[in-house]
Amino acid sequence: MKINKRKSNKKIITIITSSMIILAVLYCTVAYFNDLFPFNSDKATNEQKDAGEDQKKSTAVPADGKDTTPKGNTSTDGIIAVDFTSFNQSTEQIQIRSLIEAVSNSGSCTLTMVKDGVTVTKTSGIQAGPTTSTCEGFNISIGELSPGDWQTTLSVEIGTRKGSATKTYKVQ
Amino acid sequence: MSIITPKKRIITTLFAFIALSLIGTIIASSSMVFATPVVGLNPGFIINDNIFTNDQTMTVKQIQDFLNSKVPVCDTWGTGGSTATSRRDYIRSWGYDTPLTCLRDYKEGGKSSAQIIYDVAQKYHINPQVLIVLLQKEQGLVTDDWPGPWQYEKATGYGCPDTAPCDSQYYGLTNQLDWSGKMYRAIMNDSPTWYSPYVVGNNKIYYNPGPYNNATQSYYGRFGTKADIEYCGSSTVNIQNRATQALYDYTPYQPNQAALDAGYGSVFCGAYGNRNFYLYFSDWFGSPQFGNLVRTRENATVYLISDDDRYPIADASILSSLKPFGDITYVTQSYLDAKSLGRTLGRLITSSSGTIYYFDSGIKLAFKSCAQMVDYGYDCTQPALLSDYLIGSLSTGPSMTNVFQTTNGKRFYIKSGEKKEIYDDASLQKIGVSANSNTLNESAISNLSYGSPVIRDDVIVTSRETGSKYISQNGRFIKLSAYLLDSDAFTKLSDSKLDSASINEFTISKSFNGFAQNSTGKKYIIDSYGKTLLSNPEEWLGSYTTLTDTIFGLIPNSTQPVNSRFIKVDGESTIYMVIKGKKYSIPSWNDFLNLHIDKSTKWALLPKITADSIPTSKPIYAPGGLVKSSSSAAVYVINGLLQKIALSSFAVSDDFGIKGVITIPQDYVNIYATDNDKLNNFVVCDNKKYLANRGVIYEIDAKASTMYGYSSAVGSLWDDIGCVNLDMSSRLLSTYSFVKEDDSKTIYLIKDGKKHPISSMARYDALGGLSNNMLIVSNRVLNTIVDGPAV
Repeated sequence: MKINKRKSNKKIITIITSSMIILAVLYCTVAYFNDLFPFNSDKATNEQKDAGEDQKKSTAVPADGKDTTPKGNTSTDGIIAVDFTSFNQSTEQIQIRSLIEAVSNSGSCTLTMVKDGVTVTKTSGIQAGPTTSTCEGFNISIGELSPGDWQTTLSVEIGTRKGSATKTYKVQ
Repeated sequence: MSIITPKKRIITTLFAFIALSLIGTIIASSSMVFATPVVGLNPGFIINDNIFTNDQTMTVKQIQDFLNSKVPVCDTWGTGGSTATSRRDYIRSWGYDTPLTCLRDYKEGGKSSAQIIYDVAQKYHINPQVLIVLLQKEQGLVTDDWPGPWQYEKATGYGCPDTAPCDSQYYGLTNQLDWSGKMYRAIMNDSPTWYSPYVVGNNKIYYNPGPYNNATQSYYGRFGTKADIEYCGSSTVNIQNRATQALYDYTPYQPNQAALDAGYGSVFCGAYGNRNFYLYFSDWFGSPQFGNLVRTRENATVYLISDDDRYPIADASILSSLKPFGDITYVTQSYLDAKSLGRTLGRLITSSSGTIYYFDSGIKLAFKSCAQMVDYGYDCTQPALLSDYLIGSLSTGPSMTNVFQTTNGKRFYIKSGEKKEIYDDASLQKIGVSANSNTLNESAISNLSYGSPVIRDDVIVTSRETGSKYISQNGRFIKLSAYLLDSDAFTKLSDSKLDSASINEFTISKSFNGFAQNSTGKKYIIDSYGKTLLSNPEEWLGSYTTLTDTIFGLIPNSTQPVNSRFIKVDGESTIYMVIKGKKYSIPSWNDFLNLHIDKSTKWALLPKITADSIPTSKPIYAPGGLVKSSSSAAVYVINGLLQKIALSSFAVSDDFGIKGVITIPQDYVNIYATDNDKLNNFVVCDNKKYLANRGVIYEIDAKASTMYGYSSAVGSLWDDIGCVNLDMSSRLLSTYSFVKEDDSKTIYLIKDGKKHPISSMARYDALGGLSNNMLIVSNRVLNTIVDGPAV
C-alpha cells in the first residue's frame, strides 16, 4: 500500500496559511472599526464624528432661512426666561449676575431688593452673549445693604417681552 | 458519490468556525459603541487660563495639517454614508445641494479656514486649539466630511439662542470666529464693558435646558416655565478661572453624571457643550486643565503661573515635583510680562486659606508650625500664593513631620535647616524623636545641608558611596580597615548605611589596625576571627584604640595563636615573629621551628593592616646557628632571641653541636646583641650551668661542680629559646665519674675537682668503672679539668 505523505503535508500547510490569512483579515476588520493599530492614527474616531454629526443635524436650517427646528416652549411666547446665576458677597460689594434667555443688546433690567421696608433699586442695560444675554450688572456697594434677608427681584424687558425672577439672599 | 472522510470533516468544521467568527466580528464591530466615561472634568475648572490664551500652540500649517488629518477624504458629492437616504438627499432636503466643502478646504474672503482660525487666535490671543474645538463641538465641522452650508453660517454657534433662530448678523465662519474670540478675550480681560452672567466664584448652573418633549423628540428651551427650568436640576459650581467662565458664557450648562458616564454619547437631561469641549480638547491636544508651567522659546526659564503672578523655577527637582500641573507650554514674552514676577519658587506654597504647604511629587503636606518650616530651612514668609485650583490639584498628604524618609529608603531628621541622617529607630529614640515620617523624593530636601547624623554608639556604619565601614563610638567614627570588613569579628554589631556626607560630619579616626583596649586597659588584637587578649602586650607595642566594653562584648574570641607572636599576613607566605614592637621575617622553616619555644608549627593569620602596623625588621635566624657577615671574619653563635656570642674556635661550636656558618649581610648581623665574652664550653640556661661536650649539653649539678672543679667556671648566658635548641642530656654530669677522649686510651677518674689518670683496666674496674658512667669528652672539655695524680 502506498502512502502519499507529501500530499497530506501540503493540505496542512494550506490550512494553516489560510487560517492565518483569515485571522489577519479578522483583526484588520476589528481594528478598522475600533480604531486599533494600524488604524488609530490622527484621524477622527467614530465617536468624535458621531457626536459632531449629531450636533450638525440638530442645528440644520433650511436654505430659505426659515428655521423650523423646535425651539422652546411655544406656550410661553411673550415671556423672557430670566434667572439669577450668581450672588457673591465680598468685603466691598455684592455681585449679582443673571441669565436672560435671548440674544439681545437692547432692553432693560431692574433689580429690586427689599428688606424691612427698605427698598434698593438698580437698573441696567442688557449685554448680548453668544447664546444668551445678561444684565449689565449688578455690583452693589456693601454699604447699601444691611445684613439680613433681602427679597430680590429681577425684572427684564426686551421690547414687548418680559420676564422676572425672585429669590431671597442673605447679606452677611 | 462522494465520501466525507473524518479529515475532510475537520477541515470543513474549521473553515466554518473561522468564517462564522469573521462574520460575527464584523457585525459586532460595526454596531458596538464603546462609551468611555469622561474622567477628570472639573466643572469649575474645565480649561486652564494659560492654555486657553496660549496663541503660540499652532502655526497656520499645523492647523491645516490637523484639519487634513481629521478628514482624509472629503465627500464633496455626498455619495458616502450608510443610511438609506444618501447624504446628497439629506442636503437637498434642506434646500442645499452639492458640491460640499469640508473645513480643511473651506475659504472665505480669500483666506483658508486654517488662516482664519490662526488670525483670530492671534488677534485675540486665544489658543487656536480652543477655536478648533469650538468649531467641532458647536457644528462638528472639524471631523465632518460632508458639511452643510449652514454649519459655516453658525460655525461657532454665536448668536444662536436655544429658543430662537440664530441672528444672521453673526453669520459666517470668519464672523463667528471673530465674535467668539472677541467674547473670550473680553472675559479673560475682565473687561468692564463686557458683562458676563457668571463670575469667578459660586454660580448656579443647570444640567440641561429643560424637559424632553416626546412629541418633538427634542428638549424645550430651558426657561420655558419655572418647571422647565428646574426639571433637570442645577448645582452650584465654583468657577475657578476666567477661561472656564468664558466657556459657561458660551454654553451655560454643565454635564450631569450620566452625560459624563456616556463619553461622547447622549443621555436623558444631558448637556454636552462643555463636556464635548473637554473631550475633544483632551483627545486632540492633551489635558486642557494644566498649562501653568510656561516658558518662552527664547528663554529656558520656566515659570509657574498662578492667576496674575509668575514664579520662576530655578530647581529641576521642583519642576519635576510639579508634574501634576502638566507639561511646559510655550508662551510669548509679552504674555509673561503681563504677569507679576514673584520670588523664585521654593517648596512652600499657600492658598487663600492661609495654610502653608510643602510640596513634592505632586503631593502637598501642611506644615504644623512656623518653627517646622524653619527646620526645613524656610522662612515662614516665603510661600508662593497659588490659586485654590492649583493647590487643589496637588494631592493632600499627611502633615509634615520632622522625620523625612526618601523614596530610596534614607531617613533624615530635619532640624534647624539641616538634614541629619538617621541610622535606625533606636538612634532616633535615643534623642526622643518619634519615628513618624513622610516618604518623599530626596531632591525635596536638597536645599538642606547635612548635619551630624542621628546615630547611636557601638554600631557599624557603611558609606553608601564608598562602602567604607566605620564604628560609631562617642560621637566619632573609627574607620574599619577593608581587611576586617568581611570578618567574623564584627558580625554581631548592627550595620547600616549612611551617606558619606553624613559620615563626614563626625570626626573620623584613622583606620582601625586591629589593636584595641577596653576600658580597663586590657589589650587585644582583633583579627578576622575575633579578639585575643594579649598575654604579652609589651611585645606588640601597637597603637591601641579604645573600644567600649559593649563592642568588646559583641566581638567573639578568636582561636588564633596570636600570643605565639608568630604571624602571617593574610595572602602572603612569609612568617614573622613579633619581638618588642617589630616583626622579623623568618628565613626558613627550620628557623621557624627553632624559634618556637614549644616547637609547635602554629602561627596567627593577621589582617594586612594589623601586620603592616608593626614595623618590619631584618630576618631573624634561630638560636643554635652560626652566622657571620660577608665583611668580617668574626663568627658568632646565635645563643638566644636576637642575641649572639662570638665564637673563638670551631672546636667550641662542635661541642655545642653547631655546624655550618651562614653568611648574611652585616646589618642582619647587627640586629643581634653581642655577648661580651666569647663562647666557651659552659652555658647557663634558666640559672643552671651546663657543659657542652661533643654536641650534647650536660647539666653541671652541685655534685658535678665539686667533682669536676667547675665551681668557678663562667658560662655564656643563653635565653630560653637558645637553650631549647641545645641538645640537653637527660643525665646530670655528676653521673659520670670517669672521662676519656674518644681517640685516647687514658681513662680519668673525676674526683675532687681534678681528673686522675687510671693506670690499668683492672684498677678502672676496681674503682667502679662501667660503660655507663664514663663520659667520652672532647679535648677541650678534658682540658677544662685540672690534672690530678694517677690512681
